[in-house]
Order: sequence, then structure tokens, then C-alpha cells
Amino acid sequence: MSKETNLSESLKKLEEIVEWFENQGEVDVEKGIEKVKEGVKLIKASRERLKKVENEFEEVRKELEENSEN
Amino acid sequence: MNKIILEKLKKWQTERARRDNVEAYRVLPYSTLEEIARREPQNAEELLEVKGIKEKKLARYGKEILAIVNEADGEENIVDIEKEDRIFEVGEYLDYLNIKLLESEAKIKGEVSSVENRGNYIFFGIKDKEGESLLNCFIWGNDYSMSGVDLEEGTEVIIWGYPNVYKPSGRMSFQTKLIEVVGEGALKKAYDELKRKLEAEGIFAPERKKIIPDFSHKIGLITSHQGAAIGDFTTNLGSYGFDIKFYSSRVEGKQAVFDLVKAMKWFNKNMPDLDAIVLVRGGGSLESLQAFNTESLVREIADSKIPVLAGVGHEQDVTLAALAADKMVSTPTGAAVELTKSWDEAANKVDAAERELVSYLSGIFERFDQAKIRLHREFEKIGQAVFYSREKIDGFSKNVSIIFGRCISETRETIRNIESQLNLNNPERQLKLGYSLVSLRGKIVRSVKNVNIGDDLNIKVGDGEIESEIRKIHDL
Repeated sequence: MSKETNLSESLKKLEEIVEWFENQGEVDVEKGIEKVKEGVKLIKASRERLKKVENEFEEVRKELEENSEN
Repeated sequence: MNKIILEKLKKWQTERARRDNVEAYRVLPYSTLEEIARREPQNAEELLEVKGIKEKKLARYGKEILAIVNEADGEENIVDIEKEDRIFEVGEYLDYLNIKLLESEAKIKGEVSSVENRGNYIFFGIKDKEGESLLNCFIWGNDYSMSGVDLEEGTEVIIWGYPNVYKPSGRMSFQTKLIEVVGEGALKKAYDELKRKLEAEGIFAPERKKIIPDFSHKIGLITSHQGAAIGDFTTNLGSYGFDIKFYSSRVEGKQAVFDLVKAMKWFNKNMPDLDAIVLVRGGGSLESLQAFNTESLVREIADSKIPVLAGVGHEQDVTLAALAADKMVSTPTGAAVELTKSWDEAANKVDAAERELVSYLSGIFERFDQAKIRLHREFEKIGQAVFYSREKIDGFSKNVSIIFGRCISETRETIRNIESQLNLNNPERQLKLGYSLVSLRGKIVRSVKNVNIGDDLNIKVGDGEIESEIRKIHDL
């Protein structure tokens, strides 16, 4: 689990990054790029994580549907 | 069978029984009389062949029986004998005459003219109120007390019997079996007197009464085999399986007292284990009920070891026999009802118990049914609960699908928003738009004041960097 991305934590971090940008009067280019780079990484991870969760959910849902049909 | 012989044997049997002071059947049973009448034995040997006659009976009665059989045979010849001018000896003729006189049995009304009581027997005379006629009469002490009538000169009586010539004296007297008083008035008077007397003795006292046991089963019935009483009694007994021992007795008039007393004695002697003796007859006048108001019967009833139930109807006064009985009802039907009462009650109790049991059982069954219904209902409820639960779970899974699906798409949207915001804020994006980043010694140049001519500037554009030197500086 620790290795896996925690989706809500990632989202929180991303939101912090967005917030950071919004509060920045003058963008520190270097820092900004760093942030962007981190955000891109987080987005990618979140997407992967979301995809995985979605797949897991689909499996569970199928199982549920099969059971309720019985 | 020789009917004449049988008749004579019957008369002889009664006569002999009276003489020996025993019951008639003790002399010889009726069946034996019939057998003798059938066989007409001529001597002792032939008589011994008759069933019921052994040496003892032969010794005691043989001579008399053979005489009767011979006499009867002789009688048939009498017509012939008379034709032949037969000459009798005196005793022979008196025997013949006495047999003839038996047929003159009669009831005679008259006024008592003389009484001579010798204890074991009584001589008396009766005469017509008007006129000179006189009849000499004889009655055995037993019959006298059985009659329960006090003979006094001047009493008007009806006597019943037959004439007889006493051989040693040659005197004819009327062999009286029974004496009655004449007329309702006299009967009523006799009734009242006897009632008073017996009452004083305590014959009718309640404390003397025996209890007719509940569930009486073995019953001695005394009544006439004719008339309505026996039918009324037996048809009202129901189907309780009574064991009825029936002693047929006359019940009409004074003469019935012989049978009634005999019946009472017989049951007490021969069937002491009877639960009760039932004495019944329909209602009647004082005259027709005379026997039931006769002292001998009343005492017999009072002395009975077996409880007596009387069902004797009456027009005026309750019969003294009924008063002496342990229990009295007014009809034969009433007697039957009295006997069946305890059985009826028991039967009703059994019925009630049965009904109770059935209702109890059906109550149990009903509770079972109710329990079944309730259980069924519970099952239904559980079924419904299961159904609802499934619905809920189904709904839940649907909801979960929807909600979670929405959650995922929202998350995706959020990520996209963040991405686009990040893109907006990405400094490199500005470079692509044509803006450039100018820096001097690693620092972003934001003012002309920070640079001098000759400084080396680094210019960052979308696809690379440009090294340049400041040649002029202009203020805005």
C-alpha cells in the first residue's frame, strides 16, 4: 500500500500545488517548473491509480450483479 | 295330557301346601304335575318314573297322587257306572263329591253370623241379611291373617273359596281362602284403621327406609304379566342393561295378595342379592287395590331385606304397600325413571366429559392451527425481510455503482482541472506563446535598474537559450 499512490493524498497535494500557483504573485520559474513537474507526476500516478480503482470497482460490481441475480 | 288330572293335581297341590304350611312349589313343581298328568301313572313304580318324584316324595304324596289319577280315571267311567247303578262306599263317595265340589268355587257375599276362632283355623258362618240361608265356613289361620280382615258378627264380607265335606263329621263347610270387606265405605274404614295401626307401629317411619342404591342393576319385578304396567315399566328402563327377574303376580282385587306376598318372600329368600324389588301396577279404585292395602303384604314389604320401590297408581289414597316401601312413586313409568335416574346422570356426565374433552382437544388443535398460522406469518415476514434486504442490497449495489462511478468521474474531472490549471501556470507555456525569460547571473531580470550595458544576458525561449550582451538601456 505504501508503494501505491494514495489517491486522496495525491489529489490533496495537487490542490496544494494549484493553490501555491494562485497565491504566487510572481512566479518563481524554477520553483514553478519543479511544482509543475511534481504535479505532472502526481497526475500521472493519480490517473493510473484511478484506473486501477475503477477496474477493481468494475470487478466488484460484476460480482455484486451476479449475486443479486441469483 | 289329561287336563282333568292336571286341574285336580293343581288343586291338591294348593291344598296340600296349605296343610303343610309350605309354598306350593315345595310340594311338587308345576312341571312335575304336568308330567304326572301326561303319564297317568297307575302305581308306585310308574310314579317313580316321573321326573321330580323320588322315594321321599313318593312316600309323602304317592298315595294321594295315585288316588287323584285313579279318581279321574274312575270319573270318566262314572257315567257308565251310574248306568250300571254302581254303589259307592261312604268315603269313596265323599272323595268323589269333594272333587266335584272343587268346581263350585265361588265368591259369596253375606253377613257374618258367628265366629269361632281356634287359632290355626276359624269356623264362621255367613247369612243373607234377609232370609234364613246360612253357610258354614272354614278358614285356615294363615289365610285369615293374609286376608287382614277382622271377622265380627254383623260384618258384611265377600268370601272366596269352594265347598268341601269333612269326611269324619260329614259336615259340609265352605273352604274359605280369602275374606274381603264389602263396599267403598267399609274398605275406606278398613284402610284408615290399618293405616293408623301401622303408623303407630312405625312401619312407615322414614328411618326404617332403606336406600334404593344408585346404579341398581339386578331388579326383582313384581307385577302382572298382563296390563299396561309391565310395559310402561320396561319400556322406560332405557338401554342400561338391567337384569330383571320377573315374578308374575296377580295385582287386581284382594286375591292378588297371595301372589304378592309369595313374590316378596320368594325374592327375599332366593335372590337376596337383588339391588331392589320393584312393585308396580297402574292406578285403580280402593276395591281393585285391596291387596295393596292388606296388612300381610304391607308387613312383608316393611320386613323385606331387599329395598322395595313401589310404583303403584291410585285414585284416592296412597296404598299402604307404597307407604311401607322404601321409595314410592305414583306410576310404573315413575319407577323406571327412578331406577334409571342415576344411570341417566352418569350417562350425562360421561357425555359432558366427552364434550369437554373434545372441546379441550379442539382447543389444543386450534392453538396448534393458530401457532401454525402465526409461524406461517413469521415465515412470510422473514421472507419479506429477506426480500427487502435483497432489494436493499441490490439497491445498495446499484447506488454504490452509481455513486462510486460518479466519484470516479468526479475525481477524473478534478484531475483534469488540476492538469489544465497546472498547464496554465506552467512557466514554460509562456515561452511557447512567444514570451521569453531573461536572466542575469541566474536571476530573472524584472527591471532595467538591475542591468548595465555590457552585461551578459541569458534569454530563454520556447525551444532553447540565447546568450546575448546589453548594448543600450532605455527607461520607459
